[in-house]
Amino acid sequence: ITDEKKPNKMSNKSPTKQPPAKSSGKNVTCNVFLLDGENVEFSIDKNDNGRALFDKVCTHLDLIERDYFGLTYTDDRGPSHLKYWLHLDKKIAKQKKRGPWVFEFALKFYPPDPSQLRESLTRWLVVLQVRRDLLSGRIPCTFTTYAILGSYNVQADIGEYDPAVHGNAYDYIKDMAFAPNQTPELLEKIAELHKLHKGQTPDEAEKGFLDNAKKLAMYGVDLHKAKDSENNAVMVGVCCSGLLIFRDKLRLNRFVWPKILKLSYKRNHFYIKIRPGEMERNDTTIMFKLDNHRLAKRLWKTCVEHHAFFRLREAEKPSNNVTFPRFGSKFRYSGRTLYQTRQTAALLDRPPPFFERSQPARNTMPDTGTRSRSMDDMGRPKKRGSYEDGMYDPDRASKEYPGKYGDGKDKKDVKGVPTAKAQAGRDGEGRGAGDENTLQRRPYDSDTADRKDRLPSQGDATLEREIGRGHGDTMGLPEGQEKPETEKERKKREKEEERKKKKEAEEKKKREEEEKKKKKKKGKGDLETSEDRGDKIGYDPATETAFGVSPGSAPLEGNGYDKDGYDRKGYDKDGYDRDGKDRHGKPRKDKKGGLFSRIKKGGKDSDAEESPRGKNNILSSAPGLPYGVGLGVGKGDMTGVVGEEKSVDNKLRFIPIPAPPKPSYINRPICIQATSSQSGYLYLLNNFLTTMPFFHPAATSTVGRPKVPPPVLPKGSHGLDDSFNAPTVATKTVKYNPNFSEVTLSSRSVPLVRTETRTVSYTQGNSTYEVDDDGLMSEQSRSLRLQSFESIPSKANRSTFSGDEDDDYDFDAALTDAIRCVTEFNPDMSVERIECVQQLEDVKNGK
Amino acid sequence: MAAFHYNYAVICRVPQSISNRSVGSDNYPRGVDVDKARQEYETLREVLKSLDLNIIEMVEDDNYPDCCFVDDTTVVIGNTALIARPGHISRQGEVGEIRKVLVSDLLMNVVEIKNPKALLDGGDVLFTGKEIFVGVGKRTNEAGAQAVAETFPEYAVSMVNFEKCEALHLKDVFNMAGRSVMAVAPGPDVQTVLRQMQDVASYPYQVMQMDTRMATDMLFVNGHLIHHVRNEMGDKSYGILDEKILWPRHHIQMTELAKIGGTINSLVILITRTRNPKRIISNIQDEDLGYFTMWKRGPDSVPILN
Repeated sequence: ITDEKKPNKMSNKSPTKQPPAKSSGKNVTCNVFLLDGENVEFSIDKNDNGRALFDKVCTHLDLIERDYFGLTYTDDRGPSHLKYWLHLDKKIAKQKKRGPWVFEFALKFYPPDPSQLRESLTRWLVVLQVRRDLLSGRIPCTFTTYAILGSYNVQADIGEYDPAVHGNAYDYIKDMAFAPNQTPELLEKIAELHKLHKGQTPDEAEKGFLDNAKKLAMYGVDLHKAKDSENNAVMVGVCCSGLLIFRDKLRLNRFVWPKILKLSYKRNHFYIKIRPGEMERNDTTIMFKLDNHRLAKRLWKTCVEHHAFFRLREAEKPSNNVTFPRFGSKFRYSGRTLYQTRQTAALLDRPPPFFERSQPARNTMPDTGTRSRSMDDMGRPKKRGSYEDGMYDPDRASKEYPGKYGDGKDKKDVKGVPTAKAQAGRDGEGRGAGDENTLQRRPYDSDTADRKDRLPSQGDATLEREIGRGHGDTMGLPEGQEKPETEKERKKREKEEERKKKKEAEEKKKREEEEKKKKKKKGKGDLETSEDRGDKIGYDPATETAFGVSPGSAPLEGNGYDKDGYDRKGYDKDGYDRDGKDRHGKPRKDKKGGLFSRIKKGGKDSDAEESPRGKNNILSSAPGLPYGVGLGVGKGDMTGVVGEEKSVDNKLRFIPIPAPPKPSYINRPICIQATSSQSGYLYLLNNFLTTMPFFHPAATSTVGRPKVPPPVLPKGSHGLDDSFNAPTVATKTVKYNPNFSEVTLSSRSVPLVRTETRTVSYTQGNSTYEVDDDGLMSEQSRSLRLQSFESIPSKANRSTFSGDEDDDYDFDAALTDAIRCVTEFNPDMSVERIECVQQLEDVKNGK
Repeated sequence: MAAFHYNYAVICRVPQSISNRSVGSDNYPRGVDVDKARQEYETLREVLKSLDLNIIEMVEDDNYPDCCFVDDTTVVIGNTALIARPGHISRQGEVGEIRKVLVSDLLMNVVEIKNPKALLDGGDVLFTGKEIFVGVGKRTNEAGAQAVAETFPEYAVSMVNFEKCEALHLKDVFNMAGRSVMAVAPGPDVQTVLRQMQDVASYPYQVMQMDTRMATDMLFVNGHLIHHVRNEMGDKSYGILDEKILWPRHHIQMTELAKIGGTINSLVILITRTRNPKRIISNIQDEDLGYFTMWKRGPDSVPILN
């Protein structure tokens, strides 16, 4: 069924209505355009995920080193030149919503050194891709370079120059494409150079080709159009070593992976948080605006994948836990990394597969099948003034085909307010139900605010959910940037307001913009009100999230948030979001408020399990809190280490449980976990140490994503730890002798609070400041010292600590309390070790 | 083909008018000793000749007192030459002669700057063999840098802000002393620029910190390094070269021309003219590819292997 699904939003949900079962029995014919222009049909099950198709394609090609490649599709809502990578672990139907299932096989990760590729078949495919890039202007060159590269192509495709067959002129290559606007002079030069390659086999010629091509500045750079904070048009290039920022063709900046602390996107904004340089103290965040949310996400995903592929040894394991809903995008790179694929290739042991180097078909590809820019170049070479014109201008294509993919709706959207709004509304309603399916479990089902929480989990379903917005965005209007805002507003507004909007829309754009801003503010205010909330929840969670989360929105709008609102916000985001937010200058006060309110909230829902992330957030956002102390029961969880990344993954994972009424230590420098009746959760505030997750919505660049423990485990919490990676940061742990505590065992059944803490211990002399070096830490975290001290009861019944001596807090009492607390909860459990963690905020910023 | 291998050098004789009408002569009311300057120029010419270069010597034009500083007039890499647009008005006419030479004698692919607002001094363009840096702010503006980027799309062209630097041209304070060795002038202003370069650079270079600006002025040609004599460089910088540079060196005196801001590298346009190139001109090595390279620097006295 290469069907055109109805544009209607409701029908887009159909995938969710279909039985989630593996096979639907219905087969769909996919057209896949290979790099040599061949169009191959594959029949796959409608419910298959991307990998099924990709595997078929690779099998067809007999390709083994397949990790460099991927399949792209165009989103019919967007301009045709915008390609999206097919996520291999998701159903195709969820990604390619409308239009025929047409895909392109393409090189996704350009090997930095193609000579290290194992098989000549793989190299040939890379060559084909680079040739396309040359033709499309993605890799611009001068005459001489085109000639050099072209001559290798001729040698590979046609073979040895033979005067008898080829004659003296360049006629024999006149049908080949070498450059966007090739001239007879170029062909002549190529023919001349071709003669010099005598004796090279096709494979050698291709190696020669790639040896030159890999040195080109734009080789492997995936450009995304964006605007910087001052609204200057820039291009953000993603490549194997990091991100490049261009203005036109001039490189303004380069951020290599080690320099990047975090990448995130919110709404149509894309953020890069940069590790402070030698001289600077604060890390900086750089913001770019993309035309719409989907493009921001696309850029972010590209970054996530490139980072994982080129920088990591192995991809992060997606956490498949059913227990906790995850907030934020779940998107991760799931394939092999460059490192792994090279290793695998080294083991490869098969005779070189035979393949026929077919010349790339030049004009045979239908529009949809070609890479957009190459389409331009090939199809209408004459129209191009010069290759320079188009190469950095992805929008060009869209401008040229304004109506092409625009069904009536699109057009309306462009002009118009009404459609989008209405649709959005509908969309939202419909979605409410749909969402339930997607979400595995939600902690606070009944609570509106909580639903908000879910919103951020766009990872899975973003595409579907975004449909409403998508329309507007796609057309890439000049003022595309404002669009998302507009739509959001629209969504928020009630119908009366909608009308108003219509009028506005007709006003001049500038005015519109201003108004929008104002309204946006208002809109945000509305967010807090419960009426609006209902509406909002339903639709387009992604947007919504972005909204709640949007950097600085809160601070800008003032502090008018009621607690609820705050709460919601806090929950909305997973920790990463929060971090991001903080960065962007949310006043600390707010954070504090947020934190507390959240805690409070947590207290209410006794059963609620919070995702570890969420907690992290809280904690990590806590810098405003004066002191936080946590007592962890069970093995102190160690920090996940990330090999090269050197990031410390200081996430806390624990299950919050309402604690029995106890004296609250919340204000004390040391707070024994969960003793406060008010804060039902055990918030280990040592989470101050939480490092910045690398990628925003839910990502860390770190390898070791912690497993989330099952909801409530009476025992054996220690066991979990084993699976974690070795810690970067040393934690001193000491066995605690349970016999020591003269705890009264209560028969009350109190839920167990289980925590896993990651602690960093500093020796007093600060000689070990490893965390700092590792750099993935947030600035705030540096300003806090976390001290862990151990209690060794056997020694004179006193705890020894390495804390600040001038602190007269009674640690013994605290410890005893803690132990009692724990043992009370579960008499069966023996306390093997208790770790007290004290956190001090150092006003002078550490050290 | 590796960069820094040249077969042609375009130079221009020192005009009489350089003594008092050149851009840099304002600071020297007594003028420049033209005879001495010519002597210095001739020394350089002889050194270049000895390095397997075909010399194309242009006749001076007294209407252009700065015409001997030919490097400002064009940026040449491989077979492509971008005709510059010198930031100083009095010099803009100089490019005419150069253009003629490049087009008719050397049959280069000559590119003109299209943007009428662009300003570009060749001395602001540093080609490291792997990528290009353009110093923007003094004699070159961003449009000029953009023109470089368009003309040489094979190379990463990075813009560095040069405005706050005391020196006039980027190449007054940064020069390549070897395939991946960059000589750097002293001063906080220069260090700021250096940091920018490190941030944006795709490839690593070894930084060779000199302690005078004159010591930074050098030219790496066909495996040889041409630099100033010891008393102009200062003992320490000269010692650094002795220590680190293992390839052949030539030292020349250039006192008079230096008075008006002349440098060794500003006196010559170096050109690689190949009829049938098999590879693009680049010093990028396989180990440079795909990594997140950091620049090496430090007081280590380990000689640099080129």
